[in-house]
Amino acid sequence: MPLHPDSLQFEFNSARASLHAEGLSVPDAHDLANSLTLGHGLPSMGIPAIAPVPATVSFDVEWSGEIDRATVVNEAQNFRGDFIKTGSTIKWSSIQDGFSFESEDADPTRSFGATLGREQNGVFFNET
Amino acid sequence: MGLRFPRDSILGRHISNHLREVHGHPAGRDRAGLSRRTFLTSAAGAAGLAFWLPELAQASDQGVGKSAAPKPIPGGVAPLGIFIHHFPAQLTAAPLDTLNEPSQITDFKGFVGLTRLRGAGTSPQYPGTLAYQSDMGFMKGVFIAEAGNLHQGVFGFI
Repeated sequence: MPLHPDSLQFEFNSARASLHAEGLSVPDAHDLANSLTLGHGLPSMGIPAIAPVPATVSFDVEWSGEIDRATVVNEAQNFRGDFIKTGSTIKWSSIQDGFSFESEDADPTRSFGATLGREQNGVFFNET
Repeated sequence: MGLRFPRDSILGRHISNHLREVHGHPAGRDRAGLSRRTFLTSAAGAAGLAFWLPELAQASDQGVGKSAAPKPIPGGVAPLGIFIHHFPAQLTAAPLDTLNEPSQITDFKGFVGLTRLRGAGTSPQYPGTLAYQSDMGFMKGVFIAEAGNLHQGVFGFI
């Protein structure tokens, strides 16, 4: 979704970025299957159709702590660029009618993978 | 959240056609039925995949017109057998030279970020700990929109 430029702070050379939003309106799709099927569910897998409901989310996502960096050229997927593997954290909350949720505090041990990059793809792939 | 496209965008048509041709129409919708709590077991992931909900995107207009809508990358993965134009964040232990495309839009030049986190939280309406997984990212730069014009913007994948 388009975001206000102020929602993103990015320092590529320092391997740091942060993404922030407050009270962002989102559809709560209930589960992955209903998100992917626009609320149709997957009856063949025993997942019933459930219509999305309005919700809001607030979050702070941080990328920091350089682990590795490399130039990557992936011709099969038609992208190239300089990429940095980092740590990451998130603190988020969500509210909807009759339900709210607040995550635990940001914890870097919860990150399974994080990447920052400066890239070009598609028609820009070969641009110097 | 996530990138949002109108129903008649390239991506919107692609997803709608796929749902109609592969998954057919639903027998009905359980609007009152299951608890919303389970949403939060994969909340950010599900919300992130709302990126691929053109109908919802149109209903919750965020000001992106068709002519300025970005185009999806051609590749991606297929959770539950449903193709989406997105590669999950690379795991920490994997070498960068095996990196998949972190951007969700093509004909793009700029900065990207992608991450996968898992954790837990609490709700006043639920007497226990709830688990979640979040796939979050951003793209900031210039892109060629559907109509062929060059645009500049910041997008979130949430």
